[in-house]
This record gives sequence, structure tokens and C-alpha cells, in this order.
Amino acid sequence: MYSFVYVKKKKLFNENIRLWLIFISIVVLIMLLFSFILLYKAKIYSQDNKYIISKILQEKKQILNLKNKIELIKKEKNLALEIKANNDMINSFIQNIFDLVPDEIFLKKVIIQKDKLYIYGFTPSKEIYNKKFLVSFNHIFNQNKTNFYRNKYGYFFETRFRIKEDR
Amino acid sequence: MTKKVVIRNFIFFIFFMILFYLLLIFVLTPSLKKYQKSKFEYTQNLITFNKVQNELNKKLVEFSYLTNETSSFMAFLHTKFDKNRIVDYINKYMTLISIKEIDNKKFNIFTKKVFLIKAKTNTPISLYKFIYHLDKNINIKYPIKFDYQDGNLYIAFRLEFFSINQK
Repeated sequence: MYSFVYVKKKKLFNENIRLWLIFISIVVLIMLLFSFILLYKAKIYSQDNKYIISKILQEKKQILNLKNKIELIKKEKNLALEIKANNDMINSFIQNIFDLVPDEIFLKKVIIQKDKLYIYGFTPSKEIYNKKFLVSFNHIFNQNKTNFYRNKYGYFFETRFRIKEDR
Repeated sequence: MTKKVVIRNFIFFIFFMILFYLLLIFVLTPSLKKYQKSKFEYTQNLITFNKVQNELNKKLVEFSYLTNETSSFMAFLHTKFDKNRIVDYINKYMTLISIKEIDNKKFNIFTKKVFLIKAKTNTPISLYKFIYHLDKNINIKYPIKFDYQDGNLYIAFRLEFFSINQK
């Protein structure tokens, strides 16, 4: 006997079920893939985070270090400026004192203290001392106390001034 | 379509929906949350990093400016005290009679040494020049005494030397 009908293998799932299964598998795969991509990206962000945090800590340490250095330099700068200002002030103060002394008066000893000035010297007369010496010094100094001692050149004087400005 | 196929499709649809929601709730959503959290943290850290970097750049500019500005006198403050150098320096303008250390104090950032100097010269101009050319770490202090004897001007004064403490 010869038959024209082939024997068909019976499929486990029919067409309809296969379609469903393929559809569900694709959707599940897409979802899993998407989830994997998200997790992978999250991991990359997490690694970058660690790197950035370490950089932030490192830079904060650098900033702190720089702040300390800047503070130190500023203190050093202030110290140097104070020294320069003090020296300039003292220099001009000494020059002023010697410039104020008239030619007729001869200085023997000068002591400059923070707020006092002692001058010892010779003057031919009290008049020259008062008119030429004391007048100009009174512009800078507050109080003065003078003792005169007569000698063969005229007068030996001791004058004590109190300085107006706080030096 | 037979009734049987419709029911089967419905069952598959229900199965698909359940699976979809289960995957959404237990796989995709946690991944998404983790991703969002990591990204948010990354963005926040990046903003902080930029701020810190800007601050660091500002501090670097300030540091560089201060270093350039103060380099001329910083060198003096960072050099160790050399007595011979001072003696030579005094002798350049006057004749040194004596130099005596009267104080040595260590402060937070610098050390201060105080010396009593006695020198002689012919004119106070030598002292003006001496003070004018003093190093930026040397401070002249009161009291300053001038005594004219035998054609010489004897000067006594204090010098303060500052040097930055080496760490």
C-alpha cells in the first residue's frame, strides 16, 4: 500500500503557544537586559563616585594646606611690613631731630626713647635756645623741662621732651 | 477561533501580565532605583567637586600672587641668623664697638633675637643710611642713644632679628 499523506511529527507546542512563548521570552529578555544595563551603569557611577570623593578629599586637604600656607605668608608679610614701617619711621624721626637743631646749638648727648626724648647740649644763650631750638621742637613734642647750667661757652642745657605721637 | 484557543490566549495573557509585573517590581524597579541613586550621588558629588576645584584654583592663584609679591623679603625671613653678616653690615656704615645678645624668644611662627649694638661714627648720616638699608627682617628699636665725645659720635641702639621657625 502506498499512502500520499506523510506522517507529521506532532509538535510539542502548537503555533499559537509558540508565538506566546517567543513573545514572553523576548519581553523577559528585554527587561532583564534593561535591568542589567541599569545595574552596569549604576556600578560605573558608583566607581566614578568613589574616584570623585577621593579627589574631593584630596583637594580639600590641598586647600587646607594652602590656607595654612597663605595665612603664614600673610603673617610673614605683615611682620616684614611692620619692620619696614618701623625702621622708616625711626629713621625719619632721627633725621627730623637733627635737622631741627640750629647751627648755634651744639648737641652733646641725645637719648630717644619710645615716648621721651632727652637732649643735652650747649647753647650760647637762653634766647637762642628758646627762639631757635625750643620753638621748632615744640611743634613735635608736648611737654618739656629744661635745666640750664652756666659755663664758659654759654649754657649747658638738659631738656626732656614728651613725644606727642605714640611710637 | 475556537473557544479553547481563546481561553488559552487569555491564560497566556494573564501569565504574561503577572510575569511582566513581577519582573517590573522585583528586577527592573530595584535596578532603576539603584541607578537613579548612583546617578544622583554622582551628580551631587560632581557639583561638590567643581566647587572644591574652583576654591582650590582660587587658593592657588592667591598663593602664587602672595608668593611672588613677598618673595623679595621672604628670603630674609627664612634665612638663619648670621652674626658675622651683621657685624660686616654695621662696619659698612659705622665702626662697631660691641654687639651683645640681650634677648632670644621663640614665638609661634618666628624667633626674635635682640642685640644691643654700640658703634661709633662721624656723622648721623651713617646711621640714616644704615637704617635705610637694613634687611627686611631687622628692626631697629628704642632707646637710641647718641653721645658726642672727642670728635666721634657714639651710638647705642637695639636691633631685633626675626627669622621664621623652620618646621
